[in-house]
Amino acid sequence: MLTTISIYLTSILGAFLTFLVNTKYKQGPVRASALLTLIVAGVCFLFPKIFSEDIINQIPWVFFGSSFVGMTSGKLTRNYISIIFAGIVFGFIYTVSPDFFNGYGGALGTAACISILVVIGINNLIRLLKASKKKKRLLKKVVLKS
Amino acid sequence: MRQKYFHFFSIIFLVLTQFAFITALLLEHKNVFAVISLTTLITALIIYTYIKFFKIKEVDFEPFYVMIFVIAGALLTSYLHLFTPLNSVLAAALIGTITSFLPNLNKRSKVLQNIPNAIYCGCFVGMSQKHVAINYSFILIAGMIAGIFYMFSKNLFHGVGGKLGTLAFGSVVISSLLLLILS
Repeated sequence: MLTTISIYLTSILGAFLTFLVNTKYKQGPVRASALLTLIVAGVCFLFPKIFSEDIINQIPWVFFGSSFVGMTSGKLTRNYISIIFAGIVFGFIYTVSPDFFNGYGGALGTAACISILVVIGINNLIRLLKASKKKKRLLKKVVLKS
Repeated sequence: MRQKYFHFFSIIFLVLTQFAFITALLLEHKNVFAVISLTTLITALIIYTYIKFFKIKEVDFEPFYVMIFVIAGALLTSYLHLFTPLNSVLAAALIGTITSFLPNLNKRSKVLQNIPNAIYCGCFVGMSQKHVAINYSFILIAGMIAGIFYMFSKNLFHGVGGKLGTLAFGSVVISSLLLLILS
C-alpha cells in the first residue's frame, strides 16, 4: 500500500516539476527531464537507506518515466491540472505495466506517451462540451428575442 | 510523393508500438475487471486523439546525420550501465544532462541544436537490460532503426512527451523480433 502511494506521489511530482522547469523557467525539455532525474536518482543512489528498499528501487524509474510526461510543450497542454492528471494516469499504467516488456528500453516512454494522449483527448472533449453549451445558450437568446 | 509513403509508414510504426504495449498489458491482467475497463477507456480516448488531433499539414524530415547521434547515444548509455556501477536511469540522465548543454556552445549552428533530442532518443535504446540487448551489434541495429524513424517523424507527435521513448521502444521490439527470427 505504502509503495503504491509513493509511486503515485512520485509520478505526480515528476510530471509537474519537469513541466515547470521546461515551460516556466524555459530550460528546454531534455535538460528539464535529465537534470531533475539526475538529482533524484543520484540521491537514491548515494543514500539508499532513506526509505525502505522497495520504495528506493522504484523511485528512480517512476520519476524518470513521469518526467517524460512533463516534456510536453506548453502549446498542447496549457494548465497544470491536466499535467497532474497525466501524472496520475502514468502512475496507473506503471503499476499495471506488463512484465513481458520488462527490460526493454523505452517502455516507460511509451507509457508516458499514452498518458499524455489520453489527457489531450479529455481536454478536447471538455472544450467541445463547453462550445456546444455556449451554442445552445446563444440559440435560446436569439429565439427569445425574436 | 515518395516522402508521403515514408511518413505514412512512420505513423503506422508509432501507433502499432503503442497498441503492442496495451495488448500485452491487457493479456497479463485479463482477470482483473478494473484494469480491463480502465484500459479500454484509455484506448478509446487514444484513438479519439489520433483521429481528431494529428492532421499533418506538410511532410518534413530531419537531416541525415541525426542517425549517427542516435546510435552514439545508445552505445554510450549501454557502455555506462553495463561496465560501471551506475544503473541505467543514472546513465541515461547523466548523458542527457551533458548533451543538453551542447547547444549553448554555439547558438547559431543548426547541427548543435539538433543534438540533444537525438542523443536522448538513443539513450532510451541503450537503457535495455542485459537479457534483451545481448551484445553491441543488437544495440547498433536497434539504434539504426530508431534513427531512421526519428528522421521520418519530424512533424509527427510534435511536442508530445514520450515520443522519443515510443520510437526507442518500437525499435528495440523490432530488433528483438529480428533476433528471434534469425537465430
